[in-house]
Amino acid sequence: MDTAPPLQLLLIEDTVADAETIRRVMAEAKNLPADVEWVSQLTQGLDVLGQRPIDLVLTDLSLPDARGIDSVKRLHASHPAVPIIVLTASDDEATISRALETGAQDFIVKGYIEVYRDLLPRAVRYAVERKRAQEKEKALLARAAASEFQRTAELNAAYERLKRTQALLIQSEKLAAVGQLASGIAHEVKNPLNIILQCVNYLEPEMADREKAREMLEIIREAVKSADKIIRGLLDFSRPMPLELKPTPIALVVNSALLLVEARFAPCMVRLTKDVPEGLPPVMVDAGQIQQVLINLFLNSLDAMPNGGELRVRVVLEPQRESGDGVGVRSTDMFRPGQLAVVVEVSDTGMGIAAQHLTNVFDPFFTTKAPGEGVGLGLAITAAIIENHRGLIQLQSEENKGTTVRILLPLAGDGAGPAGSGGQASKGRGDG
Amino acid sequence: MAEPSAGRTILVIDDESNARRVIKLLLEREQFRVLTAANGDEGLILAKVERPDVVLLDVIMPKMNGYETLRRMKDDTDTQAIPVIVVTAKVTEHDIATSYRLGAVAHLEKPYETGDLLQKIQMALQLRQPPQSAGA
Repeated sequence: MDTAPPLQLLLIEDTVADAETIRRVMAEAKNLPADVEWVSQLTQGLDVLGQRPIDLVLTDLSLPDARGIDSVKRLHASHPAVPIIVLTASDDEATISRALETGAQDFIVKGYIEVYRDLLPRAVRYAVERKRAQEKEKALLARAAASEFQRTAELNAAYERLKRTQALLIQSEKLAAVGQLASGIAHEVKNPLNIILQCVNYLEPEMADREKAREMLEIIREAVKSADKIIRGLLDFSRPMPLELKPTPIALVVNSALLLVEARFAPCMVRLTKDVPEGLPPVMVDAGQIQQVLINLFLNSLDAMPNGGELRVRVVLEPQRESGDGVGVRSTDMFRPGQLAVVVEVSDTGMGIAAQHLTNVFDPFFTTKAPGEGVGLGLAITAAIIENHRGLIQLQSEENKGTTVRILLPLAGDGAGPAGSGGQASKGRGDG
Repeated sequence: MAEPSAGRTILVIDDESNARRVIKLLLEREQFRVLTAANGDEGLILAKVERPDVVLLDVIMPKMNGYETLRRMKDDTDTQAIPVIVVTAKVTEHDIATSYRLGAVAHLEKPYETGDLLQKIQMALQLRQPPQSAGA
């Protein structure tokens, strides 16, 4: 406190004698150094307050340009952080309490100033200190409120992440249920299918000269085969798919997948735009499975563009930004913030996916296709494969505009392994 | 050449009666002699007594399953030389590997085309070792 600079006081007082008394008393208060600037009108006082920092205002209640409590009101309104001490001629309680209510810190009856010499300095010091304490408390409260706000935001974000994780869990539980169901019913269905097929095989030579009957048998055979295909699809889906992970240039996988379906583009009036740079760092994948995923996506896009359109296939190397969807620091997150991922982006200009279906597209057996055209396992299998690769799949779609699917794959150098094969996801990465 | 199937005996082990009936009709039309068994125990006895040229073996059966039946056939010197074709709805790599590990000559997935079955049977017949002349 000894080294504290003198307090900057503003005295608004139109009675010269009173003003001089106050300045003298303050000058004599050796333990409270203060500079007192004296003005005689409220507007002048407000000017000073607007020009430089003032620690405290001493104001008379009857000024040439403000009557009574009005001066306190205006001072407090324009500079609420500056403490005010009201100078009154009498200790009229009504006036004093109104002054205090309006924003004054304290009051002093002028007649006492000269009698009790330390009354004014003490009031000044208290007022300043009280105001400082108040400001400090206010700042603390504001900070607390801000951190509370931040906490709420963090809690909300955590809740959102939890919800997404829960959705993923429900998804994988559904998958597991489908798996059990599939292997359970496969035998029960495949046996009768076989009996039907053997009956067809038996009857065919018997019907050699009956064209219509043979046609019927052919229809039965086809029905059996398509039923069996569904069962096979289910079994393939439920079967744990062992991964053969190898560092693989992604361009190779993308190009070979394109090669297998490319012939179908032109007849469907689908134009292919390809941006697949060679020489990106290799990804750690089972090339066969990723190829299956890509073919599935290409064919989905083709189906979505019955009147033709554009299929864009793009590959980029991208650092991942933290999100609630698998990029973060939790053990369940597939990528760390800032970690590089190879992104394969497949977009079409097709019919898109209706908003109400977006949450279901990865569900097993969810399909909008006509019966017989799809079982609804394509994207479910795709998601399962990508999850096994510790990659991510992202889908964006707008009805009548098109759909973009992004597959994020870890780089070969990131020590990626099949899901559940170890705790690498919970360990720090990228430190060599 | 005489019909390669003529006089050859095939034992069908399957718990499903309709499956046995239709496969019997089909194979008989191909000039095979067909025996059928509804379970593993019955199948083992028939195999031991009749010494069929080929066994068609279902896997998923109540009580003794096909793999256990196959194991016992291969453990028995009387039946171990008989080629066995596993005919099953089980389709995983693991199932197929089990079939071959236990000594099957082929693994055929249901449903199958009769042509595929006949082809496997012919292959099995070629593998069939000539029966021992004297009793063991």
